[in-house]
Amino acid sequence: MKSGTKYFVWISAVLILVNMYLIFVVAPPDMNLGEVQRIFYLHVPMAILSFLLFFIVAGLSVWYLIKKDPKIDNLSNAFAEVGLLCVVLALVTGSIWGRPVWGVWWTWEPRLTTTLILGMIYVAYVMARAYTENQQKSAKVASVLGIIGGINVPIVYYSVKLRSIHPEGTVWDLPSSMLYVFLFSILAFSVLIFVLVRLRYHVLETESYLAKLELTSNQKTLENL
Amino acid sequence: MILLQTVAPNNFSFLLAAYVISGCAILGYFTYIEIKRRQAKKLIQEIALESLKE
Repeated sequence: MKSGTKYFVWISAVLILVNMYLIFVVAPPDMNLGEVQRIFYLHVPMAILSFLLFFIVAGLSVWYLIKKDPKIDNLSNAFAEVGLLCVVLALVTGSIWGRPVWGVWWTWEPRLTTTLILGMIYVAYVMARAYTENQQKSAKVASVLGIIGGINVPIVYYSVKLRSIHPEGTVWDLPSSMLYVFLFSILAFSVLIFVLVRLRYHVLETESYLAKLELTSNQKTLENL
Repeated sequence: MILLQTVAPNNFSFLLAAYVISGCAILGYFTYIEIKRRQAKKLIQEIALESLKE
């Protein structure tokens, strides 16, 4: 691991530890929901960050389709993988929240359904990369899926207005003691996501380099035959 | 969940489950990246050694 990356990993670990202290010790329990409300500090940042990551993936996908640069493709791939992790965590923590608060693990309400569709698009994105032999072809298919996923993000965001049981209020309505913890949570998880994307991107770049080396050596062997 | 309910009763078990599952998922993904990185590093070292031999 490069020293710069190591530095970021440690910063991220410290921020997450401080974040856990703030969530479990400093933040007050909710008057109506009690302790379970603390899931909010994990669930909402994960959802927000997944939307942000999928917007970036959509932008990078368009850029890749124009430039055809493998570096852009690798970056888009790294963002998509981490985005998928975020959306899965948002869905899982949301489900765990739903059981004590709504009385069900899952309900087909607009926000949940559209988020699930978004997650499925990115499962398809990752599968397209894993199961397509031709690198360029898989990059093209994944880019199209990345753009479709990006288009789906505003639909997920505004789905709350369609008879959703998700609260419509913004985080700015929170009392200040909760708001500061929430904002710190966003910061800590953003740094963590940045570290994961950076690490994944470096690995993908190295793998691309190795694949190129293998291709060159195969061509040389063929020439010598 | 049943085990968690015994360890931490009431809604606290749900809270604990959410954070434990998320922590495991993030650490799992980090480990996956690290394994991939080590595999790639090992391959590069092997290629470098082979080219030195040649």
